[in-house]
Amino acid sequence: MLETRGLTAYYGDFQALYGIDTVIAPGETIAIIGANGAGKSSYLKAITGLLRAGPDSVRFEDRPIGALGAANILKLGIAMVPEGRRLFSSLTTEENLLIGCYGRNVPGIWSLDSVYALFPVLKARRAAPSHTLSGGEQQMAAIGRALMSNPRVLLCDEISLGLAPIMIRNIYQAMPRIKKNGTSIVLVEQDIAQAMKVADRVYCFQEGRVSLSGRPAELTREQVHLAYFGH
Amino acid sequence: MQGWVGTIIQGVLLGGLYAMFAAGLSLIFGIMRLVNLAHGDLIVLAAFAILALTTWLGLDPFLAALLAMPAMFAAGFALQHVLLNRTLGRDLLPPLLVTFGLSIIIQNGLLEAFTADSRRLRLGAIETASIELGGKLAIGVMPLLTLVSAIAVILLLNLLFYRTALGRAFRATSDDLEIAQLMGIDHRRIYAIAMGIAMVVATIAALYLGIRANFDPTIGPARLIYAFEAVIIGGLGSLWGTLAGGIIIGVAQTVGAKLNPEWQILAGHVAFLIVVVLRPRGLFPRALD
Repeated sequence: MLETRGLTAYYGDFQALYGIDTVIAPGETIAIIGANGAGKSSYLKAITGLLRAGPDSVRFEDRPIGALGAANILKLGIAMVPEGRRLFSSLTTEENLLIGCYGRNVPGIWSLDSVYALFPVLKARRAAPSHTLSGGEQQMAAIGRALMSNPRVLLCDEISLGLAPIMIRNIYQAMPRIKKNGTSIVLVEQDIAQAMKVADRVYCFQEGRVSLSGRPAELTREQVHLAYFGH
Repeated sequence: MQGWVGTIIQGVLLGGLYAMFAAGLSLIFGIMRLVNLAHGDLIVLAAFAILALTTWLGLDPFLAALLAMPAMFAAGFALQHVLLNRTLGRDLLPPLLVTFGLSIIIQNGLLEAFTADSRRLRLGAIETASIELGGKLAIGVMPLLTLVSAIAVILLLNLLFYRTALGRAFRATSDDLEIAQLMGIDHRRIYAIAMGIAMVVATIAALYLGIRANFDPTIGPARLIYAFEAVIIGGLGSLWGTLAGGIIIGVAQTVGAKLNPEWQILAGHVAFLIVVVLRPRGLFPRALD
């Protein structure tokens, strides 16, 4: 469904990705793990069009989409929950959710009501300015915002970063309900244990390359350790 | 005493005109951080467009302004899409240089087309009509209409900003450009629409400018200074703040003129400096909006 072939990405002269090959099937959850600077976020940015990618290095349903801009990628049904939440600070919670379907307003199971059912705390704080939400609430709003476009693929960048363990559990509890509708999920995580628990398959990145991939059950601790740290 | 009350009322009414000059500037700065040095000249351009429609087609200036609005919207949209979008980025200098150049081009283009003669939009008796408030106080119908229009314009812009999907997209783009794109917002189109709206507001400002005072192709930059001051006094990006800023400058000017006719312009600038010294972020910075 979503595929990268020899994906490279640059920040100016700095090369962040050196030929990444990944495949994500419909309804599949994959986890991208790796240390800081391994290229995990660059990978998501290259897919979403925030970083330039070669036209043919990203394919969605067998169409090359690497040359498309971010706004057009969303319209295809690829939505992202960005690192650090990044809610729009001058918008209320509900406005942040509503803007999620600005560029792609298609019928589907996700709407204000179903997002509020998934994260009831957001309904209670619907009129609050988004910068007054707690970190966990902001993360829920950021996930809800991405869901509002009824995406076919949901990309999540470090959704557990900086949150209390109980919040992380709450947020990960929502994942099965998101998956249930056939949505593919790509989780970028530094929290290996959390990622291995929910993912169907794992890719480990190291210095801009895929150092390991496979099903969580089939990978040994040693293999993951080596692929993660490189020694 | 009544003299002073009258002076302050005149100042408030004058502030309406300055607020209208400034509203478009404030809108553009708030959404895309673009300081449009050609804004004053674009207002003058709109005034000449209204003048042309009134003289060639014999229309009433209000009707002419109504006809000019869609044309100015299209011109603003195209200007942003074709030219100004290319100048936006991390560096603040390119948009300043390009809009400065645009200002010179508009002035010279208008000089070619309309000569340097001073012009005025004619509206007949209403230009000098006034309403008696009793006790020797009277206010002009046109200045009152200007202030009412300024309030209406700012009210409508606020409704657009805070009650519509387009307004949400404006605010989101202003907050975080990168994430706005992830929401499927085409920021180039959003900017072009914003410039189009700013030009519609500029056309309304041009109507009142042309009715209340003489204009010629070179007066844009002088009007722009008051607009800038109104925007900065009010707090960058806050439209109600811009109205307050316009009124402060207007009142300072009329009070200054009352004390000594030579002090009119000076008093406005001094009021601006005092506010900037006391409240460097303006009276209503956007964070509190």
